[in-house]
Amino acid sequence: MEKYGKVTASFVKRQYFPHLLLILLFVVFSGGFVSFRGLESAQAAKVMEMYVAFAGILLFTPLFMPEQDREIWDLERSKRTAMWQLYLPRILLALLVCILVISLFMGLMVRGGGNFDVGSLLLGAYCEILFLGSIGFFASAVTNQVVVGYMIAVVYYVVNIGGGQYLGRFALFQMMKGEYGSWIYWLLGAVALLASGVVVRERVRRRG
Amino acid sequence: MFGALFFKECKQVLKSLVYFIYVVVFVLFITSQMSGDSAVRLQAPEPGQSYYGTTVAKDETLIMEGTLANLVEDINHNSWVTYPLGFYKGVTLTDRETEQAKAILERCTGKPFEVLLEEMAGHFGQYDQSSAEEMDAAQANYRVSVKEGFTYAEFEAAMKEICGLVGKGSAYEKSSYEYGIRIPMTYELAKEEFDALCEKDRVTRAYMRLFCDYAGIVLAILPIFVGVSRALWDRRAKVQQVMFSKPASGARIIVSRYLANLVMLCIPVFVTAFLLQQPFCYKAQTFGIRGDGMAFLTVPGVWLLPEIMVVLALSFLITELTDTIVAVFVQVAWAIGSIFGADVLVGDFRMRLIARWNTLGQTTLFSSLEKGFLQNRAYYFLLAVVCIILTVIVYERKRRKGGSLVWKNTER
Repeated sequence: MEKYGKVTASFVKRQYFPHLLLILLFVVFSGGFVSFRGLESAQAAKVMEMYVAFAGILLFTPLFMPEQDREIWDLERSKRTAMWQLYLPRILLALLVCILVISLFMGLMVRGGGNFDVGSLLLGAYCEILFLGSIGFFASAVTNQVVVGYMIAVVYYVVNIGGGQYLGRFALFQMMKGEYGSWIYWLLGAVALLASGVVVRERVRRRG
Repeated sequence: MFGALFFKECKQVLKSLVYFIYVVVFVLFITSQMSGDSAVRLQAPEPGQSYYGTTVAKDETLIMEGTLANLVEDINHNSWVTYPLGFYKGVTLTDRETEQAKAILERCTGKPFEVLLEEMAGHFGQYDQSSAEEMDAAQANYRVSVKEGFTYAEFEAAMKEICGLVGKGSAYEKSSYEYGIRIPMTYELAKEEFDALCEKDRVTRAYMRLFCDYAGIVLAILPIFVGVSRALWDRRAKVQQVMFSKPASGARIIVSRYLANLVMLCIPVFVTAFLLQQPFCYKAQTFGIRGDGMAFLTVPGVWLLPEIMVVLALSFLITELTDTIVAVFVQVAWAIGSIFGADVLVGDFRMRLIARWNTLGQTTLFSSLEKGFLQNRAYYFLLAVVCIILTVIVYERKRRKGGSLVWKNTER
């Protein structure tokens, strides 16, 4: 256990820290971009789906960053530790921060005296933002390029602005339209993409 | 030597996965947005049509009436759109602030808010709600008259008060409402516009402006990734020190790299523009005129090239400076702010990165705004040049230092 703690702490210190700093700035400056006062359902969903959604991309996409360095990757491959054991603490850390950020925004909106269903919005936001982050995570895992991970996640977000109809049940921004039933698809999609990402890395490792 | 470096860089770009994704996403996006039947729908206006589209009027009375009509709707929905920092920010007023807004409105119109609501319902009730065209006409025709003797100066003061309530960046800012108000076109105006489209724009130029509108959205985002990926490649492949030891100057390395990436980014843009332009060349012939066959080069050359240049140059500069992918966050935020920050989708050319022109035609309006548009594009062109000069300086300093200016020796 101690070993995983040390590896994760090293990951935070060397690679993840700037991303956590960005998340902090993202939260601190949010008041300049979104309003938290007296929001109706659609307006509260808009804050979550169009603004807070970026937290998912910021937190989950860079989780394979250390492995971009060939030397680190070779070292990890030479060890007996399975890849999932290495990645699970990172995923849990990102998940924890993501939940904190979403809950914080929800708290701000509730404090602003909004009129919306907190439970449904919170559940949908957790699942949707996790799903968007998992897209970046999976793309990074497959290509071993964090930049590609960000690119695919951002493109997915932008495509949803005008082309959500092509993405079926996995389309984003549904809660803004009053549709709260997509959370299960987002959750399943996120779990599938996160698991597939780890499996891909394990396979790459075994193949050499 | 410059040529050899340039072609080497082009090959490097071609091998990049990011570039491949850029081409696929760009082509899919642009072909899905530019509907194939635009050429078929483009027809000369006929007398007796129910709706001829809209145009922008700058008459003071119309500006007051149109802005007050928006105000009635915004107070009614209590949903105010603002762009304080270039980003969309929805504002909801408290009950007390809403009452203040109603009082300002009543002062301008001389009518209680309830009466204005009834008038609004009566106006929209005259139109077929299921028809998009009818709803457009209803929106364009909706006006709220000012009370007798109410002056434009009083109106400006009232709108300033509204801005005080909703905050910065709303449609009630002077710079926003002074742009003009959309009014329905008459047959005569529509005919005049159509003639200008044929004679001045020779059809294809107008279509290329619409192409640039859509292309400009994705080109504010996608080149960031190409630039960041390329600027980080040396470090990632651990050839940075090898590159530093080469006799070629920093200017030669950076400029050849930049130009190669720029050319490779532009190729899919111009090829797609050329292919999409063809039905409109044919359409121009059916109107008895010869379409401008070079519009696919000239219009995106002025419209999109400065945008691609600045996006790419800034991604080079930030990445060379920090040796991180922070440019992705900074520039995506800028691009998305620019997408959502447009006050209007046709002709918002203030210092916006993305110049919007979401219409086919409106040639007269474009002519009146062309100077501002050219100033905007010249600004971004110069900014790109400055960014590249700064990138060269940063690169040379890194070379002298033997590595990153910010970090010691860690991978980020």
